[in-house]
Amino acid sequence: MSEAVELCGVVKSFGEGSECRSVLRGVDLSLRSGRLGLVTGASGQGKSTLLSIAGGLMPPDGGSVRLFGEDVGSLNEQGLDRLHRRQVGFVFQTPYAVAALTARENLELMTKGAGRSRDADRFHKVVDRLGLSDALELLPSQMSGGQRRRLSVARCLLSAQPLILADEPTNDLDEEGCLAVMGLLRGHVADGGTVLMVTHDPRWVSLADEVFVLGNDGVIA
Amino acid sequence: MSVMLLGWRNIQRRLASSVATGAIVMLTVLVAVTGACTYRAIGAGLSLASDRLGADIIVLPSEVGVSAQEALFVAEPANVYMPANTVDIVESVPGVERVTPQFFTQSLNQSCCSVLGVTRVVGVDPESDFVIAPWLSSDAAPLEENGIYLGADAPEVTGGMATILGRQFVVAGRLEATGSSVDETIFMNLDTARSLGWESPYLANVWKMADPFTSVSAVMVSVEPGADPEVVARAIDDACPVSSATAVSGLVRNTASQLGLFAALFGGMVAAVALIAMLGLAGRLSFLARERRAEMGFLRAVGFSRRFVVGGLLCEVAMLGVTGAAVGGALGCGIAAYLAPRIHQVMALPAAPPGAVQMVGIVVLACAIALAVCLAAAAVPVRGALRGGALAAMQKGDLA
Repeated sequence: MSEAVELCGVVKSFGEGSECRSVLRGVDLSLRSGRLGLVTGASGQGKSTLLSIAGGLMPPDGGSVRLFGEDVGSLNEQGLDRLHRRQVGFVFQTPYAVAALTARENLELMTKGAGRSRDADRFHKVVDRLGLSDALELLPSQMSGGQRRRLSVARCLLSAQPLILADEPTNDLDEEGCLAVMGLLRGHVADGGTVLMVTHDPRWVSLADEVFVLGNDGVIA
Repeated sequence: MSVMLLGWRNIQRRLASSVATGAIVMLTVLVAVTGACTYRAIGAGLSLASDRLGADIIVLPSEVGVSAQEALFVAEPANVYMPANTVDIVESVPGVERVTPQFFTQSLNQSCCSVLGVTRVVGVDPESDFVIAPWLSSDAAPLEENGIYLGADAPEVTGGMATILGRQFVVAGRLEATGSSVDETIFMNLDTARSLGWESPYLANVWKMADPFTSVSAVMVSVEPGADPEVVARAIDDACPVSSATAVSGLVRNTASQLGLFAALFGGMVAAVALIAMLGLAGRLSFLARERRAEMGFLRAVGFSRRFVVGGLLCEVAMLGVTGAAVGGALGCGIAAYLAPRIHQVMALPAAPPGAVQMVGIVVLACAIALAVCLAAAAVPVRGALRGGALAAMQKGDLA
């Protein structure tokens, strides 16, 4: 099976001069397609930064990133847009959504944007599983933090990109919600997809195929 | 979902914010269109009156309370008279080519006397008239003893018959619009107007002991080619002390000069209001772009093209701008149409408000300008909001 994500010698720092703070100091990470990888580590170690670099949202200062064998650094703006529409889905730490659209409209916009035709059965299955059936006509501002988080997960699953990069996808969720999200992410992997997920929650280690611990020295242990 | 629909949803579901943005555009356009249309109405009326009056000089009694400007531009009834031999005196002045007398009287509001309310009635001499003849409709009949001509804006009559001061008249024709007092006047034969005034008990206090059959109210003068109307007017004043001659060209020039000052003041105020409104609009759109920064970053991060993301917001701004401008432009035209006759009455200025086609043109132009201004004002902050990439926009944005 081929590599879905390959990070090689990734370096990233923020600030300049005496203010410069080095976050990633040569990270190597490799995750094959059809597997669920977990990135853990203490707060402030650069886990979200690592995920952003892996998804091509942030350029590294050094090293290289390959997704499904394609060098992300060589892609122009249109190439990156295509990558994000078709191949990489993000569950961001902040559950963003288009504020003027209802939950249903948000899901339809994202599904269509990813080039997927609407599959009513799958739509209802995912929405029901995530407990969003009664919230579909609500605007994001009318939803709770947990509902918006689940909406983010639903958006990714319905857009059906082969790689999902999820940053703390179980934050703000109750036990039932956490289990639903993790169950669906595992289901995505079972269907041949790949998930790279950042979390603090040790419960999910047992569900992961691979665990990457980002140490305070800025490298994967 | 199309860019247009996304823009519309943003307008619909952020209604207070959308109304605020649209209202800025609407009020700016309202002030600009009202000012421009009012100025244009007066300017066009002045030009029309000057072009179409036909007379170079108007001669009025010197010791009465009516000015040439009022006589020309406002059709308030004015019962002013001077001896009829003034016509002969004026005609003999060097430089005068043609003269025609006019006799002013009025209709009354009593139902027993008139169906036309209080309207200026002017007796004209069909033999010598050169002032109203050019503006008669092609189907107009000659002005007989019981006939009347109606100015373009004179009260409507039904059935082609009108009762004035108790006497029945046949409407023999209508005049085209001139932009002057002619538009609101009823014209009849000179001697008919005299006898009508003389016989009416309701106008007895106007005549007292005077004899209308030896009086005229005004003498309209056309000068010979090459003669200076202002020089001829001075010569008429010298020859006939009971009258006062005013060159129409000078009157129009003076009025145009007053209008120019008015336009400069009003235009300055409109420009100041427009500038303040544009700064307000730029601030409003800048806020709008900042407010959506996280959302725009999010859409970019999940793969929507820059064109879609920026286009969605610009579409929204365009819809608000065009709607605001259309409402403001239509209201501005309406207010200008309402103001024009009042300015005409109160300020003794001619006014020709824009017609329906011109109003549509003004509204379309206002929409096009508002669209360009709104897009230009929004483009800079929107592009700025996405500077640094999708992630930076999401991190800097305040919308979760």
